[in-house]
Amino acid sequence: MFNRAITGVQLKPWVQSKYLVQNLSFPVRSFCNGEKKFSSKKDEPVESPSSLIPKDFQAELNEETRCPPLAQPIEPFLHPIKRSLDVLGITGRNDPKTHNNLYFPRHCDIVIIGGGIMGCSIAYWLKQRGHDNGLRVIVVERDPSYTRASTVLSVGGLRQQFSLPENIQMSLFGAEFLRNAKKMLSGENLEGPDVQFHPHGYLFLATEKGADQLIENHKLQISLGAKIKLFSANKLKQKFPWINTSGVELASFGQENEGWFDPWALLNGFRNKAIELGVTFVKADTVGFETEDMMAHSKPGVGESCTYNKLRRVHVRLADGDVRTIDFAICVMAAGAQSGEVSKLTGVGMGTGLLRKALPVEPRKRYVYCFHAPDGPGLDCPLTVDTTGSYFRREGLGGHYIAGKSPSANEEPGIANLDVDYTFFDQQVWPDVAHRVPGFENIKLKSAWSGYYDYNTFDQNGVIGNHPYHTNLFFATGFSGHGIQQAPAVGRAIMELIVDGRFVDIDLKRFGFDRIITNRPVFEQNIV
Amino acid sequence: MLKFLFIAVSLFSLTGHWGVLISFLLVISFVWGLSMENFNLGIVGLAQLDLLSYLLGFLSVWITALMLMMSLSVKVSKNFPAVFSGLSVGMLFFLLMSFGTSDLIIFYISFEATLIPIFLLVMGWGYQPERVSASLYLLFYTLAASLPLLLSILWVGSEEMSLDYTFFWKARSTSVLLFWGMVLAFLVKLPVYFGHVWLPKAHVEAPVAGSMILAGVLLKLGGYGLVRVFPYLESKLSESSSLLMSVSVVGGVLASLICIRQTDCKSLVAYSSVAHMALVLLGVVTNTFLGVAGAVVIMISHGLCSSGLFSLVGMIYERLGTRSLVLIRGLISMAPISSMWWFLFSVSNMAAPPTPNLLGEIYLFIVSLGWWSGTVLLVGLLSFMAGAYNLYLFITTQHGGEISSLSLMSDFSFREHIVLFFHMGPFILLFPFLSHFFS
Repeated sequence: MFNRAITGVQLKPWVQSKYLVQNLSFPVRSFCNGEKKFSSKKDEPVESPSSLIPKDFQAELNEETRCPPLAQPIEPFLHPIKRSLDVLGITGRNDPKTHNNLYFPRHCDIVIIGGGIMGCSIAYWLKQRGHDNGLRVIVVERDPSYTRASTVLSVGGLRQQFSLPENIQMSLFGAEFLRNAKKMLSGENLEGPDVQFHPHGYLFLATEKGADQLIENHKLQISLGAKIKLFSANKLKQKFPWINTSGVELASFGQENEGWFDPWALLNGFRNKAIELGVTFVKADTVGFETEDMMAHSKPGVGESCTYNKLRRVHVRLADGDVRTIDFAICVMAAGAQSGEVSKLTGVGMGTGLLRKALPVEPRKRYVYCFHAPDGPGLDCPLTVDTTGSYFRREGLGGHYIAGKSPSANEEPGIANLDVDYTFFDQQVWPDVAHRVPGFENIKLKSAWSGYYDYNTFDQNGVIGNHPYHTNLFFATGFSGHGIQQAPAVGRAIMELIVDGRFVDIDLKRFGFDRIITNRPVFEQNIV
Repeated sequence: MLKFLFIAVSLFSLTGHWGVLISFLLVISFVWGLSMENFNLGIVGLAQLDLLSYLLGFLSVWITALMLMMSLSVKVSKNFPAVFSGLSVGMLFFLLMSFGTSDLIIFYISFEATLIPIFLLVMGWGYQPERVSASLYLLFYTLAASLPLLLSILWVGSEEMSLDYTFFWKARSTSVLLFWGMVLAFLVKLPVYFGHVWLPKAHVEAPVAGSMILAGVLLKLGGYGLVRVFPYLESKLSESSSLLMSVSVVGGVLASLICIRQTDCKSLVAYSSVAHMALVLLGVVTNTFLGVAGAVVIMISHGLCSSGLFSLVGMIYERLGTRSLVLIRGLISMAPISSMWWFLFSVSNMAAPPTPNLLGEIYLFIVSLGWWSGTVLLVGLLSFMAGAYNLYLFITTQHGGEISSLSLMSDFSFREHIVLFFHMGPFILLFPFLSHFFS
């Protein structure tokens, strides 16, 4: 432990290479990637530990990172005498603004932007590590009734049938957590949530073209502990007689830890437990961030120093139009579909150098239709994902089913509101599901809703990790439709990043923000 | 002493000019120190100083200078720096008056008057909504406990010829009510364990400068008051000494146990203040020369050490934006030069040689063992726990891997080094001075 400080000071010439820390013999506790790289060149920007910058991007990233000017300080300091007299009630007695201002939380250690499933999960896990006042956490959520939040409009699926090991591991963790959710999220006066997990599994159907990919994915899933079984067309017909196996070469079916659950229950579970552990929820909209010029050393004591803009404060607007500030040490961006917009307020994507690339998360509207089919599959119906991309699952015990489909790129619905387009069902979804399940020919469409995916336009997988310039800004967004099942794992991962400085349980280095800057997408093969 | 009061009043004119004010205060502290020749002879009257008053007066001027040096952010962000420095100078005025006077009523007035600036400092520049309850606790605990003090002083004034405590060499009082009336205020100010609740709250919510002056000097007012009134109450003192001793010692052990459980580093240092002041009470209650000497030495050295620790915490808070021990880690690699100061202040706080803290604790060990040999367990435990929580503070903040999200921080600037050096310098220099005068 002491070696590090000593080695840093006694700088021998042959050690003074560009990648200084590599020469140390003991393992350097790194952050996202294997090595910390500090440059001793004068013109290069300060590279934060989390960015592994490969040689072919050096030229591009040699430009200096500048943060654009962000929000201005909104209110001057209140005179201390007046402030004291207000508190004592001697003045400002009739001014409701004074009273509200007094008790608004203005300082915290960690502020979480967005109170959906990700935000609440992160808050819960953070408070597990810092009881009471160990970590002060504030969650800023603009709509506590969650009318437009992706969380509550989600279908609530949980599957391990991914092609990326990180996704599989996160879903396995999610399944384990859901199994114990009632116990883990219960408290003194709090009953844990009943997440109503239906363990009916996912069924992915593949044509001849996709069969190889399915087999490959299956191998990986099995190796990581998922219980997935492959079915040939005949076996499939035996297991699920209601299915029409024309065009289906291979199917994979999850036998354990797969199914669907109630996202509302999980959200409330996390939220209530977080509140019990001492998290403050603020009903406000994020309207700006403030930075402060701070000095940083590339290598403490010996390296170059420069100033950079550190995010210190967030401006939030309350329901009555008042704008307040919250000082923080660390900010977590878990704003779901609006994350891209809100990130722009921090300067991500609005500056140069490391701030050139924006967070590529935007809302995409997806429809979910609920219909009644008396001749449908009945109880034994997993969440079936057809070869065309349409999916359906049973809903309740009365012969209702819900179905949906991701539209193709040129059919993307507008995101201005959450109105449902029923023609999409008639033209796209119903033909597919009716072809796959003959029993769906005779249906009556009962209702439908729509919700936003926090769609990651870069590679449709979550962005989990901190920004290389704004090192105290963490992202937990962009899950593009499979976020709800990964919420417990992502919450825990962010907690580990913040408190331990590295991923402990599941290694999510590849999902960091760096891949957006270095243009290394991590694609998933099965996306619903 | 009066000339210093005039000087303090004149400092009000400098309230806008930060650097000039600080340098002036430092110069004044030296002038104060240089005028220490005549103290043992004493002049009868309003203002009389002996070594204790001189030392504590020096401490107050010094800490005021350092707290202004530390609060540059108030000036830079234009958070009413004139009012801030005005309050600090006002506090200094009343502190000098309370340490410099030998008249109990003047002492009481200035004792109470120091509450107003600290209250305004915590309320006006404090951080969180909790500062409301924190400053109210501070104010009302001290006020409620010092009302009996006022009544006792007035009663003594009517009984005795004058209220000058230089006349109190002989133990005259035999009234229990008077004893508790006079002592209670100082016990809460000290603070002793059962009346300590205001201290962690006030420290956590106060700005850095507020914490520095609070821990550095205002707590010593309690100890100073006890030293001044105990000669008058000696007969009752010997009767209540077992109660006071047990409260102080056991309270100190409990406070240091609570200390280790803190997750806010400022709160940790605040509880360590409670534990150290318990030692002060221990020394004073034994009514021996060495006991009072030990108490005085601990007061001076704790003033500097605690103030230094609060400055360190403040410097980290300015950079990282958090005081949570969960998030502050690995400073030895992020800011190694600050680690030197962290180390020096942590070991001083745990009374390691060659700091005057150790000198005071040795005196107190001798005295408490002489009072009753059973205290070896408790005082030993207190000392051990002091080592434990200081080590905990040092290891948690310095060692451990760095938190990469907060790792972009700068090492200390020259100003911050000066502040810490000025805390540490008198520390080392006072050791021979104190051991000479109190041997």
